[in-house]
Amino acid sequence: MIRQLNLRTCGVNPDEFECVFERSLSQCLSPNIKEALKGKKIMFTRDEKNLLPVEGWGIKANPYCTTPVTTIQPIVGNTMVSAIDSSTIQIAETEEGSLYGVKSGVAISIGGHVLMHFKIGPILFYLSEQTIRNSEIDHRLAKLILADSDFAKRMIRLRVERAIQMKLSRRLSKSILLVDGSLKSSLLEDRSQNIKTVAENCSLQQNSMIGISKNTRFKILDRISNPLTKIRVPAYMDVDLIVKSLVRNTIGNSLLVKFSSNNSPVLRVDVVTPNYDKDESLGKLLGNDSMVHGYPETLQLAHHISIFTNTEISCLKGHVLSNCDVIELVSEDIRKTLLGSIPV
Amino acid sequence: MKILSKNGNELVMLAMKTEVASKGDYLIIEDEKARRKMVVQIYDEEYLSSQSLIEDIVKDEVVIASSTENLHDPLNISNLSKMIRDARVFRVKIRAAIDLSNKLSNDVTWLPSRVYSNVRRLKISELDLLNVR
Repeated sequence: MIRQLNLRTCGVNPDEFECVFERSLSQCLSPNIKEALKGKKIMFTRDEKNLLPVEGWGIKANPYCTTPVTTIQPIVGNTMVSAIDSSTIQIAETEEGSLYGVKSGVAISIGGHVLMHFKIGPILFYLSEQTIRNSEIDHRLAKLILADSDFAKRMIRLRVERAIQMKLSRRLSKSILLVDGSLKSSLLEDRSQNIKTVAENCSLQQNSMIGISKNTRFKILDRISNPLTKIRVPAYMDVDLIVKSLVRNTIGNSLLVKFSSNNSPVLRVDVVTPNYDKDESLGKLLGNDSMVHGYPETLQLAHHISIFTNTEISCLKGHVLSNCDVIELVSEDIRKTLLGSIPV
Repeated sequence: MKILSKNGNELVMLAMKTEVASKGDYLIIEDEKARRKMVVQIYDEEYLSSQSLIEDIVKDEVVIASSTENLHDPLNISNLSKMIRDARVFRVKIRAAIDLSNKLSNDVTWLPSRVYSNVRRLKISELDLLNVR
């Protein structure tokens, strides 16, 4: 009451805010939420994570229910499956640039058993105007990565992954290269080591390249995956037309795949095959890699070994302090200082 | 060895695997800046432990058990990481101080520096000498 009186004496009426709010939002949102939500299936979000309903969205929400479902038959043999993943972190900042650490993992399996894995790194990269000037990075891209550390991290991760994929695609033959995420070209790639060159190498060596995304930005794919959520065997749906209509730079054939039976998730998968036989490639993957909760074990292992542990981060900082002749500055969390100690 | 913390009459010291000492051993803490010395005795030895360190060890064991590991680690970070995992903490009791005339004293009300202190094992013969003085 006191507050209201005070606001009124300031010439501000709190009821006006409600009006302003309604006016501003009613242009894009229905003011009558009750009516708009009546009878709708709802799934609450958590920490902005990508969630999916366990039983799917149901047939009502599926305008593309005519997309056929094809079952996958495992082909057990001596096909080598190599999975690649990597991660990047920002270690430190200087007045001129930033120091990044990158770690990669390659896991290899044959006949359903993981044979070995390679831990590559951690390796340090220092990006500043001077170091970039000496590189072959395009100057517009250089400006972008110097201004935005997220872009820089993505570029380092992408280039390191492509370098490993290039090597594996040339060395291996009649194998499967598993990649975390969709198969799409990016401005951040090196001209000589891009996804298209990796795909060409794969074709020459008769390798298949399969990109598996844990989640997709395209909500339409979640909506049409209902027939796959119901099916009890590994299967796929071809969604190439839908994906190609939404995004131009993908390569290969885009599918929605369920790798295991029962409640395993439906994943977006891009497949590049030497003979355009996606059934064979997916069958060989099923027969030569084991699936943990509907996700290839090799890719899971590659992910785990490429993640930075807290100990490694401390060691990297220690390495820089003791080997690089730097002066450590005391830092503060500006957000914590401004907002207080209550977690926000 | 480095001093980590103090609680009452006890200190907690950080030691690497190579710094060998056992329960019952005496240590001398020499504060270079304050030019003072303190005699402490180890009564317990533990691993340096934190939740994230334990999680890292468990994760690594699971990964190594599932397949053969090959490393390409140009900065040798995995060795540093192993050193941290093998680091230990000594719990010590403050027994005495050594004054400027190198005699044992019971003035232990001061705190040795965590930055400028050197810690080393005190031999029994050295302790005997201090007792004689």
